[in-house]
Amino acid sequence: MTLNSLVFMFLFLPVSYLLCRIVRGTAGNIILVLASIIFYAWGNPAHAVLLVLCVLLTYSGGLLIAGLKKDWADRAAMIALIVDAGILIAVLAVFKYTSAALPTGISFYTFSALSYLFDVYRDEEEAASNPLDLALYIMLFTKILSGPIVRYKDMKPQLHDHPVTTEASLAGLELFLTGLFKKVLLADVLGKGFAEISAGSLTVGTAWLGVLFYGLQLYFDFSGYSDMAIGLSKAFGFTVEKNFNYPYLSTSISDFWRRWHISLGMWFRNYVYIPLGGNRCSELMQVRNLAAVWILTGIWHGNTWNFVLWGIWHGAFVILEKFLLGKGKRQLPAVLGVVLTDLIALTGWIFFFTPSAGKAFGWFGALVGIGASGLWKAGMGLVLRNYLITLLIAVLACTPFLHNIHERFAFRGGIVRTMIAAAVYGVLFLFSIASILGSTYTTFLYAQF
Amino acid sequence: MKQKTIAALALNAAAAVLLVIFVAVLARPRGKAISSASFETVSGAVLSQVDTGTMQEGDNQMLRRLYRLSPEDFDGFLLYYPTSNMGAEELLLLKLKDLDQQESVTQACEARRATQMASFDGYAMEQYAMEENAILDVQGNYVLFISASDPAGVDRAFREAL
Repeated sequence: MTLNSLVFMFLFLPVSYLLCRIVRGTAGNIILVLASIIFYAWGNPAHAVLLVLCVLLTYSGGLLIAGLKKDWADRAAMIALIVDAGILIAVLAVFKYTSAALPTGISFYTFSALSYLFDVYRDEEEAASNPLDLALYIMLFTKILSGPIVRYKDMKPQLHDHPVTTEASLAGLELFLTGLFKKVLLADVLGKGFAEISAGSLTVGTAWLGVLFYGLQLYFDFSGYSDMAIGLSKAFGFTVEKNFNYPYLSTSISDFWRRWHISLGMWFRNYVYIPLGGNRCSELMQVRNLAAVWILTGIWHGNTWNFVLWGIWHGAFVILEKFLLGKGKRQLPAVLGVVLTDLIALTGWIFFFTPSAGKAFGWFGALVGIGASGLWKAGMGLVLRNYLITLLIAVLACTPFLHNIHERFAFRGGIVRTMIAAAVYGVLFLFSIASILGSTYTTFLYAQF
Repeated sequence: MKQKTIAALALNAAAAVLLVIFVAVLARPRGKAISSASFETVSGAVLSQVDTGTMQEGDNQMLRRLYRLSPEDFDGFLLYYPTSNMGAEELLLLKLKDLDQQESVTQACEARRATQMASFDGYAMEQYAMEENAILDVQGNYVLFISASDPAGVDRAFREAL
């Protein structure tokens, strides 16, 4: 089941929401865990069993690590951590890097489980004594498919205090719908445009257009999903931090990674970069630490060389910025910084959408005319015209412009504005449903990772 | 060690053993390899080899109508069908949720091909030949059905993308 499927929006969500409004406390949490298992089992029940076993291993692992630290020795606790974390990583690797069917969201829930075990070992968090708490933290259906990857210590205070209120539910619904519109009305439409552009021979123009369309599609697909996940969490009484902050307005690649998939960046910072020494070591060691983070980030995304190359691509620019261009780049006008960063980030996605390294380099070549069949392809003008309005809205939505208008006018300043905003939301929702009904493919790009 | 820690150790060991056994069963090799390539990657590669000028994109309803398949049963699908009744060009790309679907999908594609061939038989030899040469390629969790002037080229692109 996905967050944008009809069965989720019109059956699963209303039923689970109503139950959680009626039943509170521990019983409410039991309902949420059961609902999450049903949600996850919808596509493949066997994968739900796998999820439950991972939760059981993490729960008992947390208790064991804490117990060994207290009763015996750190070394024994470390062995337990290595064994349990090793098993979780091995399970992830089996599904991610072999021919086995990938359980949806496994990369995300494994990283949640690992962060919990690491935090317990580092005494940053107590081991959960109630298995229900850990199950809810890892399995909560609002975020299990593609994050955000929340730390246990951020969620723990909310596990027994997440009142489902009308006010929070309406705010959550607003964010959920915004995410749905981003996904269905922008990302899916741009995806169709990308398919039309990339079909057939590649020219310089289509190579650049493809990069632009895919970059925007990926952003609205994933940030749309994140908005839906955060909005749903809010509706069920949980506060989850935002996962995107206008990444295409970043003035450097380091800045980009503080704004794109924030929770994954924080995970690698907390559990790889800082434990390796972070920036409190020699420059050479800092380069090693950054390289490790970026190669691992690439590998996390997939099992092909393309993802490793994509990690190296971003890592190289981060290292270049930090050690070679640092001072010079700070002197650049902000606009130029944004343009350069977008150029690097958007062209970097070529590694994502091409099936092999050879095809990726072929696409890079086509950007500058090498191997391209000319400058422009006949018929592309018509394609561009068909998607022009969506493209313009998408570019505007990459900035706070539309959000600011929304914040200023929607649901604020009297009944008339509220009615107009509700009507606009209603119309956009109907458009989205019509689009889902008539569409061919509406899953989320990041769910494959 | 205290009793609580011993109980945690026993539970942890049991969970680890169960998990390893379950993963071994779940990830056992079954037939052809499952591709981890994204649907966008595969559909992009396939579309790059297909002339869609004489076809139109089909939606959920068309998948049900032409193939009697339910869109929600798949992780993704791409359908192009002829713009006219005299057209035989057709493309169907499916990403299966489970390898057990291979058989039913194969039957659905064969049934579609048989229907088309029956409708062209006797008076539209070119279209009949195109359907005859159509390729149905089942590769793990991906299925391609292509009826076109160069189905082999499309199939090559399909296999390369997996």
